[in-house]
Amino acid sequence: MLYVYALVDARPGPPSAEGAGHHGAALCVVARGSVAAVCSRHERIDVAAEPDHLWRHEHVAERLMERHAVLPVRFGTTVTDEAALAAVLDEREDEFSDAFERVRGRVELAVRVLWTAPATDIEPPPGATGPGQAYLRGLIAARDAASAIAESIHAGLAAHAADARHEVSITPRLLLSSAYLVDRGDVGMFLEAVEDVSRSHPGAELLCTGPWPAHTFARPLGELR
Amino acid sequence: MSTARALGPSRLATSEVTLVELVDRLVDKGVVLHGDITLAVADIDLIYVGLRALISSVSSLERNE
Repeated sequence: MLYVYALVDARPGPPSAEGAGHHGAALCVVARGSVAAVCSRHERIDVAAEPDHLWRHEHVAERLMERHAVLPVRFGTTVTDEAALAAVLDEREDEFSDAFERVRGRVELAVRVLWTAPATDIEPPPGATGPGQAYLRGLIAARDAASAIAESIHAGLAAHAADARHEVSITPRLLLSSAYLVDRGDVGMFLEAVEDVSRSHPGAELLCTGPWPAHTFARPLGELR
Repeated sequence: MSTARALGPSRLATSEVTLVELVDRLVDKGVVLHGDITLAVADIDLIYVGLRALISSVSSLERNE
């Protein structure tokens, strides 16, 4: 069977499959029209989601990203054989071509914002009629305020990105989890924007990682898992 | 290779932050082919439990500092 790491734009020419995949297996390429899949061949394969295996998958995609437009494939994906893979590539060539255009020359940067403002800041707003209600209203007000801050942080960062996805107030502590598709040449500017946000929001801790291959932008917006 | 930077009141172990983001990306994002996923669902659930545990422990760590 074939384990698939990434899809690569084959229009300038299919990628060379240098390096090794899981369990030291050589990488190989299955190319159909404008789409090439980078894989490794195995009698059987069982890859647990452990850091070493996850990094192996990621490194294959990152290396390809140096020269090609790349769509990372979800970890753990296998197909029975070349014919099965070729059938998928043929059937969805248009979708993948659109996605290559979206990510070409761009990288993904991930941001998480942890909120470090103490909970004791919650004060009952005017009009609360009892301690329980006051507390609940205070919580809601604090949550709304946090959401507004998260949206503002996101908007500031998204201004430097070609595309962005975000989720606000995931937990009381995790204020924002977001991903930005940024032109390679704009990464420095984006990181400066992250530092600016950090300086202007002393109660927020910003965790920024990347540049990643465009994992989050590999699929069309709104597509279910 | 992807690198992490943590800005703000505390400095987290950036390798852990990067691993959290890596797991999130590889098991939840990326192209879904009409193929088989070798991971059992139970494994994925475990990863997410681990992810949440990591994020909450990071938060409680800060609170205790």
